[in-house]
Amino acid sequence: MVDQVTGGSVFSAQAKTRRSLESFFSWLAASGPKTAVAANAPRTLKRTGLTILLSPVLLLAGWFALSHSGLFPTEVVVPPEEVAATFWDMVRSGDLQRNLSSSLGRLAIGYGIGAGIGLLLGSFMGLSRNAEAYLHPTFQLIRQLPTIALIPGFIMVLGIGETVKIVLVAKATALPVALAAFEGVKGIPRVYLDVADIYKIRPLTRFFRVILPATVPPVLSGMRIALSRSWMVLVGTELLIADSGIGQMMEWGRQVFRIDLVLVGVVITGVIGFTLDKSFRLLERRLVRWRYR
Amino acid sequence: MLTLSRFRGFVLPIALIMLWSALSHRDAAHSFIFVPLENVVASAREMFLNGELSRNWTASLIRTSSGFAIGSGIGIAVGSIMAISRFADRLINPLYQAVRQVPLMGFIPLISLWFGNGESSKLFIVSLAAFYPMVLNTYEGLINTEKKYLSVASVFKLGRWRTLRYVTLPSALPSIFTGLMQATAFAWLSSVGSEFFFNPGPGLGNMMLNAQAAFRMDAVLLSVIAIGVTGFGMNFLVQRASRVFLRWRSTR
Amino acid sequence: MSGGAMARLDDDKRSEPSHPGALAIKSLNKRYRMDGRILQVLQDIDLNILPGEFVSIVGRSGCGKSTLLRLIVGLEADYDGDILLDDQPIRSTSLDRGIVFQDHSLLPWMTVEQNIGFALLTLDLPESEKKRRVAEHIDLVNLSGFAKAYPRELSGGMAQRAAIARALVNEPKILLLDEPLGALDALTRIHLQRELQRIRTQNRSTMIMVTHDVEEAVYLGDRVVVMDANPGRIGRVVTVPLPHPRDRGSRAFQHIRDEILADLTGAHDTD
Repeated sequence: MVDQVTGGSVFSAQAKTRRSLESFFSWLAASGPKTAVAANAPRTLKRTGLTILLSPVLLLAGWFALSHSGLFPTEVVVPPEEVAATFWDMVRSGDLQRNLSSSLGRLAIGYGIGAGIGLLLGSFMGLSRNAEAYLHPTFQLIRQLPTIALIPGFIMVLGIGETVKIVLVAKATALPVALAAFEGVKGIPRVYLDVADIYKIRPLTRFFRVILPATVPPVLSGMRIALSRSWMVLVGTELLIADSGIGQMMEWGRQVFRIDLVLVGVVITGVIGFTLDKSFRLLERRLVRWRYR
Repeated sequence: MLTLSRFRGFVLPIALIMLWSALSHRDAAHSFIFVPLENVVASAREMFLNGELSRNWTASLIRTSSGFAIGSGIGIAVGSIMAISRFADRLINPLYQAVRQVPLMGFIPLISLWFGNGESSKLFIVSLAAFYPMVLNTYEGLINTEKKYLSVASVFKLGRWRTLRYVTLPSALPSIFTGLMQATAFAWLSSVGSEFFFNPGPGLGNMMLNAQAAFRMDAVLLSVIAIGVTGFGMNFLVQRASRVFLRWRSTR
Repeated sequence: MSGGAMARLDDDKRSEPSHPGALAIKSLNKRYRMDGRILQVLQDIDLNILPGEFVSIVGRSGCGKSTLLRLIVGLEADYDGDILLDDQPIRSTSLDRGIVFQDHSLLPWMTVEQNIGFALLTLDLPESEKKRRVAEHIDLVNLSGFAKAYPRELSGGMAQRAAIARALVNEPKILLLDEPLGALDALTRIHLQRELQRIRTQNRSTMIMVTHDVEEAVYLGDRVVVMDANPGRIGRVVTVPLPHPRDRGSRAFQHIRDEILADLTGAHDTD
C-alpha cells in the first residue's frame, strides 16, 4: 500500500511520481484555501468509482443474512424484502402519500413563514445600525433556546393542533435564516460598497447589483441548514403530537411493534432529508454561478 | 445621549417583560399562560431549595457528558481512520453519508423497539448526536492539510508518523474543535430532547413534561431557561478550551 | 552582535573541507503530460555549481525556474537526465538540501524555536545539541528575543528570516531559495538582501536562489543564470566579478544588471 496520511501526502517515491503534476499545480496556485481544495480534489474524483457501492451492498447483504439467520425473530430484524413489501403496500393503499403530503405541507408552510421572517429580520438588523442595537441582543438571547426544548411550552400555549407544528418549524427556520442574513449583510466587503459610492451608483442599483449578490451565497447556505434542521424538528414534533405525517406513522409503528413500518419511515425521512439538501445545493449552484468554476 | 444609546439593547427585553407581566395580571385565563414572573422566581427558589432542579439538571448533564464522550471519541476515531486509510474511506464514507441523512429524531422509534425505552436508548441517541459532527470535522480537518506544510515535512524527511503528529494533526485541530463545539451543542439538545420520547426518568426534559402535564408554566419556563443557560455555558467552556489549544491562530 | 556568532560559526564543522556541495546538472529534461498533451517545462539544462558558490537564477514567469528548484530539492523525482550532488543522484528529498519557500511556510502552530527545531526532528542528536543549534541559528538571523513567538506575531521579513534559519539549522550542503524575498516590501527586501549576504559569509553552504528581481540576483550571485521560457532552458550565464559588499550604484554593477534586464525584456529582439 502506498503511504498516505492525507490524500497521498507523505512522499514515498512512487506516490511522488504519480502525483507530481497535481503537486506542481497546487504549488503554482501558491498558498491559501485553494491549496486545501486542490489537495482534496483527486480523492473525491476517485471516489466516484464503483467502490462507493461496496459498503451499501455489503450492508444490505449483511442485513439480509442476519434477518434470515434465525438469530433474531424476523419481527425484530425484519428482512429487507419485507420492508420493501410494506413500502409497496403503503404506496398502493395511499397511506404513504397521505402521510407524506401532510408532513411536507407542514414543512412548506412553516418553513415559508420562518424563512420570510428570518430574511426580513436578518436584513433589517444588518442594514440598520439602530435595528441592530435594539434587536440583536434579544435575538442572541432567543437563539440560545433550542427549539426542541420549547415543544412542551408551545404545546401548553398552542395546544396540539396544526398551529403548534407550524410555529415550531417556523421558529426552527427563522433563527438560523435571520442569523445568516444578518451576517451576510454585515459581511459585505467594505470595498464593494466603496466602489459603488465612487461610481455614484443609485441606491436601487446598489441594492440589486451589489448588496443582494454579495449576500446571496451565505444566506442560501443558512437557508439550507435551516431546512434540514426544521425537517428534524418536524419529525420530532410529529412523533410526539400528531394524527398524521411520517413521524406519526413511525410512532404508530412503534406502538404496535411494526418494525417494518418504522424502517420504511427511517428510510423515507432519510431520503427526504437528502433530497431537500441536494436540491437546495443545486439551487445554490444555479443562483450563484459566478462562485463556482 | 451617547451613553444612553448603549442601552438600546435592553429596551426590547424590558418591554417584553413589562408586556408579559401586564398580561399576567389581567385575568386568570391570561395568568395561566403568562404566568406572573414572581411565580417563576418563587418556583425557581423552591425547586432549587428542594433539590429538584439540581437533581434533574445533573441527570441530563451526566447523560450529555457520557454520550458526548462516547460519541465524539468514536467519531474522532472513525474520522481519523477514514482520513488515513483510503480503503476505510471508501467503505465507511458512503454509509456515513447515507445514515446521516436520517434526522436524529427519526431513529427514535427504531431505537426504542430495538433497545428498549430506558436510559441506554437515550444515551445512544446522545452519542449519535455527538458522533456525526465529530466524524465529519475530524475527517475534513485531516484531509485538508495545506500542501505547503506537507512539502516542508517532506523536505525534512519526517516520515509518516512524525508528519501525522507534527503537521497533519495540529493543522486539523481547528476543525476538530469546531466538531467538538457542535458535538457538545447537539449532545445537550438531544439529551434533553430524548427524555420526551422514552421512559420517564430524572432529567430537565422530563421535568418540563411533568410541568406541562400539571399546567405549570412557571416550571416549564424555568426548565427552558435552565436548558438555555447550560447550553450557553457549555459552548463557552469549549470555546475557552479551543482558545487555549489554538493559541497559535490569529485572533479573528 | 554578529561578531560573536561569527566567531562561533568559524570553528564549526561546516567550514571543514568534508562539506563540499558541488551540484552537477546534466542534460536535464522535464515534461508534464496534461490531457494527453506533453508540456516541456525544462529542456537540456546543463549547469555545474561549485561548492560554496552562490548562483542566482532569473527568468520570466513560466520559464521553469521554480520547477528546477523543486527537482533539485527532490520534491519531484520524475525527470530525464542527471542531477548529482557530490556525484550522488537526487531522487528524493534529503537533509543535504534545504529550501526556503517564497511564502515562509512556517508551521503556524509552532513557535519560531519549534519551527527551527522541526528541521532537526529526524536527526540523531542529543537534545542539548539541538537546543544549542537552534539558539545559534536564531542569533544568526537576528531573531533573538522572538524564539517563543508564533508566526502570526512576526512581520513578513522576520518570518522569512526564521524560515532561512530553519533551512540552515541542519547544515545542508546546499541551500535553495525560491524567491525568498518575493513577498516582502522593497525596504525590507534590501535589508534582507544584506542579511543574506552576511549569512552567506558565515556559512559555507552552496546556495541557489530563484528570483524575479535582477538587481537582487546581481547583488548576491557569483553567477547569474538567465533562463528563457517555452520551453524552459538556460539562455546565458553571467559571471559577476564584483567584490562584496556590492555597491548597487556603481557603474560596473549597473552595467551587468542592465545587460541581463535587456536580455529578459527582449530589448534585443522585437517582442
